[in-house]
Amino acid sequence: MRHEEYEQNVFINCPFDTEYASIFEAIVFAVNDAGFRPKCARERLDSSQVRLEKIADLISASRYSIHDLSRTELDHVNALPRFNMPLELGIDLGCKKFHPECSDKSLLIFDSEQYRFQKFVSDLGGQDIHQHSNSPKVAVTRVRNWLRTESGKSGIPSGAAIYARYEGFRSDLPEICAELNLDVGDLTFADFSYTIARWLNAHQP
Amino acid sequence: MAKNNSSADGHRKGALRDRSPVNGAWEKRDVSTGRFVDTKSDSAPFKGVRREILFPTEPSTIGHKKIDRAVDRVVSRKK
Repeated sequence: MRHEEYEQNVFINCPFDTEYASIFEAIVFAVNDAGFRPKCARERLDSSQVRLEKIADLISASRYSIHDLSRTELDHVNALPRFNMPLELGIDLGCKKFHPECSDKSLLIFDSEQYRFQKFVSDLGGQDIHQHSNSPKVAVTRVRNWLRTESGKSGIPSGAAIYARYEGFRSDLPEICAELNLDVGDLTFADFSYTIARWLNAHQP
Repeated sequence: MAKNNSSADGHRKGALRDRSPVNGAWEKRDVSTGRFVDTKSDSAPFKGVRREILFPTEPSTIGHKKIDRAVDRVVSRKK
């Protein structure tokens, strides 16, 4: 049976490192502003649940998924590639293929350069892979356009409008955190996403 | 509170606070009963209708009410 929020949920499979934070946070904002609910493995604090189970639960509960393979590169310490993102993409593709109630899933796959993925996951040939060029603004527009097309939902603001609002939110965020006696980096994913939703709600007409 | 402009030039002042757009098409819903009261035939949204923002359902470590108050204070200072 489908999760009750399946149609609204967008699973985000992205790196969590600080260098990537600006793109990740812009994507979370764009998903919220488009009227969907971002889901991420970071949102669950229950450490008793096996990580892969947690991810599989989130994937099967989300009609839409964003997978960013741009950080699939050699680790400086071990000289081995980081393969969590491709693994989660594989689970999602399997869910879409083999779960009868999830065959309408839609995936947005990002990589840093066009055709780079063919060097490490050539089986993805034939899929549309998009580039964000490490730009939060480009990522916002790509996410917005994909959600608009795949959901058929009207009334989603343009990418430029969403990004302008995102800049407004980023400008207010330090003050909001100061009111909470927190640093911006202290916000959990769930609280960050809730703050975005509340801020967007406060800026409604 | 929304009100019509007395000069009848076709715009409303303020937002309709008891309606919200849902689903793919723009629909008016009475938030007190949850019933749909109107649907637009074109892709343009209703004038003055607030967009539906979905709030996360995961528990907060800070408390949603605290976040609400912090956001409202900052937003009201800037308005």
